[in-house]
Amino acid sequence: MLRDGDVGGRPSSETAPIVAGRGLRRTYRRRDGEEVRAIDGIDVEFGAGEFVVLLGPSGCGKTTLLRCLAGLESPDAGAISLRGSTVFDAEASVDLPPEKRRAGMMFQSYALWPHMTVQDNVAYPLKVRRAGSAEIRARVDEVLRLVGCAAIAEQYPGEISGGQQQRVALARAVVARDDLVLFDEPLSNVDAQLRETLRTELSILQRALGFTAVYVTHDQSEALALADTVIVLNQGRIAQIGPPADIYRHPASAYVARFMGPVNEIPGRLTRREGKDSVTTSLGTFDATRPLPSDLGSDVLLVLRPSELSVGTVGAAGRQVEATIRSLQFQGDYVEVLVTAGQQELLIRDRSDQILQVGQSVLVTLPGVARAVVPDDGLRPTRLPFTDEAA
Amino acid sequence: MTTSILAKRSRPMVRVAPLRTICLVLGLLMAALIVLPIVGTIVRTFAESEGLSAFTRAAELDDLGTTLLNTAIVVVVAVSAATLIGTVLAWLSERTTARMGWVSEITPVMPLLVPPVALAVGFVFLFSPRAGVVNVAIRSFTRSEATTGPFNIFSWYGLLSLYVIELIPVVYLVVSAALRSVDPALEQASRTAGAGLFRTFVSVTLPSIRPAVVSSMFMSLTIALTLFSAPAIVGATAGIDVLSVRIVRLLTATYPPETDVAVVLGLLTLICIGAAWTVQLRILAAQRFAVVGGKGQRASLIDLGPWTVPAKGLVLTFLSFATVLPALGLILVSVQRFWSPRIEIATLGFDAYRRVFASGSITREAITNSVALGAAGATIALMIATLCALALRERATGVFRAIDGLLKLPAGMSNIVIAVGILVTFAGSPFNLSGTVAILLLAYVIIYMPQASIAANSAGSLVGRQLTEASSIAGAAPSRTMRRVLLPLMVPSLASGWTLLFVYMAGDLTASVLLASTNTPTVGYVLYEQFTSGSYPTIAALAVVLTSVSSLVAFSVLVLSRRARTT
Ligand SMILES: Nc1ncnc2c1ncn2[C@@H]1O[C@H](COP(=O)(O)OP(=O)(O)O)[C@@H](O)[C@H]1O
Ligand SMILES: [Mg+2]
Repeated sequence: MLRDGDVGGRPSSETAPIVAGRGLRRTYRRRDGEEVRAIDGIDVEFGAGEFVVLLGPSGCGKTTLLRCLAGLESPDAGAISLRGSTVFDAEASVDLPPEKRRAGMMFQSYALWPHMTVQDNVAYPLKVRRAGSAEIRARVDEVLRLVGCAAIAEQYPGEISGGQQQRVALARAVVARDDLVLFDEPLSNVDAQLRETLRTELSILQRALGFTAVYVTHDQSEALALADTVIVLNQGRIAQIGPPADIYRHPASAYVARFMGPVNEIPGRLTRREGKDSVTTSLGTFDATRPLPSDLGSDVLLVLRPSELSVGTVGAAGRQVEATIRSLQFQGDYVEVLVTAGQQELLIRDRSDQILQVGQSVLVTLPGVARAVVPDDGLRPTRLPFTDEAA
Repeated sequence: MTTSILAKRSRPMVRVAPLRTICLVLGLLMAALIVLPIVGTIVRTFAESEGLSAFTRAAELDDLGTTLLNTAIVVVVAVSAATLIGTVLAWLSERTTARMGWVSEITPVMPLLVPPVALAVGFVFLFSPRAGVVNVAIRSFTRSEATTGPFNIFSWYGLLSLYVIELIPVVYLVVSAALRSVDPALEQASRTAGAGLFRTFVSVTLPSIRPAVVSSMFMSLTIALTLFSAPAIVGATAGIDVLSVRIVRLLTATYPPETDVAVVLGLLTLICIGAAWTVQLRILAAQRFAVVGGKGQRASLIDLGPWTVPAKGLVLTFLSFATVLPALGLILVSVQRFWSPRIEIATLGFDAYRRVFASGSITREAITNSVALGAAGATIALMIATLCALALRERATGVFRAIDGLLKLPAGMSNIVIAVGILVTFAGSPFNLSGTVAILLLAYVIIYMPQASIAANSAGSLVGRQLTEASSIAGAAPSRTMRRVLLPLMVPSLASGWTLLFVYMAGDLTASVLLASTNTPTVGYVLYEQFTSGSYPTIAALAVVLTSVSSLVAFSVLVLSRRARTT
């Protein structure tokens, strides 16, 4: 067994969350004097075995939040507790250094020590915690086998491939069996194909070892694939938090909706019909599938994913509008069709094999109900540069 | 690039409170040692000589105008020529087919192995008008009747050549490092856009390395202003006086020493350096430089076609003038019985070396002193610099930045001025260090502290921040992180830094000429002192020994740190 003389590890009660952050704030001063609120009042709570993904565009504060949890960065305000015991509290001036927080971490650059072999790299966290040498050997062997790197144990990091470096970094992050492992964009340095493989392996490993994972990425498909809980960040604040399916299907704001992939935003007004919330747009009125948080009469956007729309009369279970095809892009599994219906642009993923042509008039089938409705933020991103012509 | 942001990430990574305390104490000590002597000297000078009388006496020095003009000519010509040649050489061996494997790798360091004083002496042996080895060879080859020439080292062009050869490696080192970090894609983009070789060099390559060129120019200007070996050994005979020689002569050749006048001339040097420094800042600030991506990928080399051979020839010519030829000249004279134009194989022998190493001889003592001072000085300077670099890495706050700047301060000052300051402050009471090894060690450590600091900082910055963070995350205490991760990764760069310092200190002349004595001789001091009076073969042998020791140390360290594994 590992001796743990560390403070961060003892749960104060059985039900305490692994990670709890309260009112976290971190401000940087840029060189030109301007203040940047990298994270700006964040509250989080992660349970045991949970896979949490911090998602957002570059610069939204993901790395800062993660590093605050790790102890690599000190927030200006707020408190963090790990496993029920406080590791940071701005008011009480508590700030445990990273080595006392007992969390694994996988860095974007891998940060493998070039002067140690793969084996020594992976053994380091165990040595530091004074495990016995027999135990170290067994654990290193086991975890290297788990990540498929047993054969390269004697190599130096400079002598193995990028994918192998990644696996070794993963092995080093999990070898101490900490119940919390942090990841800062660990897959952003490898090519797309390897990324998918590693993503799957990571997911399997996390379930097998049962640690809580906090994973930073700017890639929404990675987030959807890995997460139990997604936290979307916007300029240092939490824009939305929830299971991936919820975030994808019921975005709380236009910002979240846009970040989760291409969307059609149809401006409308919140109305009520037969006691149900509904949205009235230029394409008709749509009943909401659940009560909407916005006020009656307020401006909203009806959010439709391109795959919810189809071209032609197939599956005519919705409502149909006339439209003109503006552009076509063949994407393999589907054709991306951009049409205009009146003033409204619509992006459609057409999975039928029908022959379509630019300029052709078609019927577009829309869903009958409004699943995703968000407050109108006034931004109108357009895909067509020549809107006059389209009118 | 994101490194600057990462570097600013403020969470201290290696938090060792004692380290910061040590650094603070050392920093204050260094501040005292660097600043106090100079300020003290200036204040004392003017207090004792009643206001401006030192200035008046300085202005009344014989031929001061000529000395200033000579200095200006030497500095301007040598710095311009060295910048031009050094940049071209660096470009040729970094970027073009003139690159020659390991030869190009060692080109920038080779000239450092022949210390300035040995180089100057070597050149005298080669190009002295009557007995210079090269001159004699040319005369007998052309069956010339003349007894002198065709070359004369004791001349303007001789002196300038020596300056240029001393300065080229400085430019070469800085510029070739910059070239290595410029993304070759920038140049390739220019070529594919239709620009030719020359145009690409001028409009793409040069702008992206301009900061390096400008700062290497500043560095060589500082060195040129204080270089003492070449003007002392060659300039004196040629009748060309420069400022650095005048300062030393005021302190050593007159009795009592005219310290206050020397200080005034030193101030003049400082003002020139200050002005150059301001200009450098102006130039660097006036432009927005291209961000250099540290790709580290090998560029596909630019094919010089038929020019490849002449270009290689140029690089090799420089190497031979900076190292091979002077070394050969020294060796040749050292094995003769007298320095004579006729080389008779039968009389060659190693008597001179026997004299150099004879027990009780001043030369033997000088070698012992120089090697010991070099080793001790390099170790002490590097330790101080490393501690401060670690503290700076840990917490980049104002105090530690200030200390860091302070360590680099001597680079912006004349070595001679520093040596004068140390002489004035520590030679007499209450320290009474005059004629001790301690005062030499002190001077070496201070004068070469900037090089130590640069080496330590770059050793630290080569270790990515995430490497130490990963160790903290793994649960390692700060001291362990330093021991197991940071220091091992810094060792190779620290080792080469140590070598450089050793070579500088063992071959030092500037500080030695003021602070060494017949009781505490150093190799530089003996070479300089005996050059006008001693036996030439002995002098040559001593210079050969110095160069060999430097090279031996450099290559052993190189081999050892290559063997230590880092990837
Ligand atoms: N050391 C720093 N100094 C100044 N600004 C910083 C520093 N670190 C981060 N920032 C700023 O904080 C914001 C959030 O950064 P970061 O957490 O790295 O974003 P992300 O990881 O989401 O891309 C950015 O605007 C960034 O410029
Ligand atoms: Mg980031």
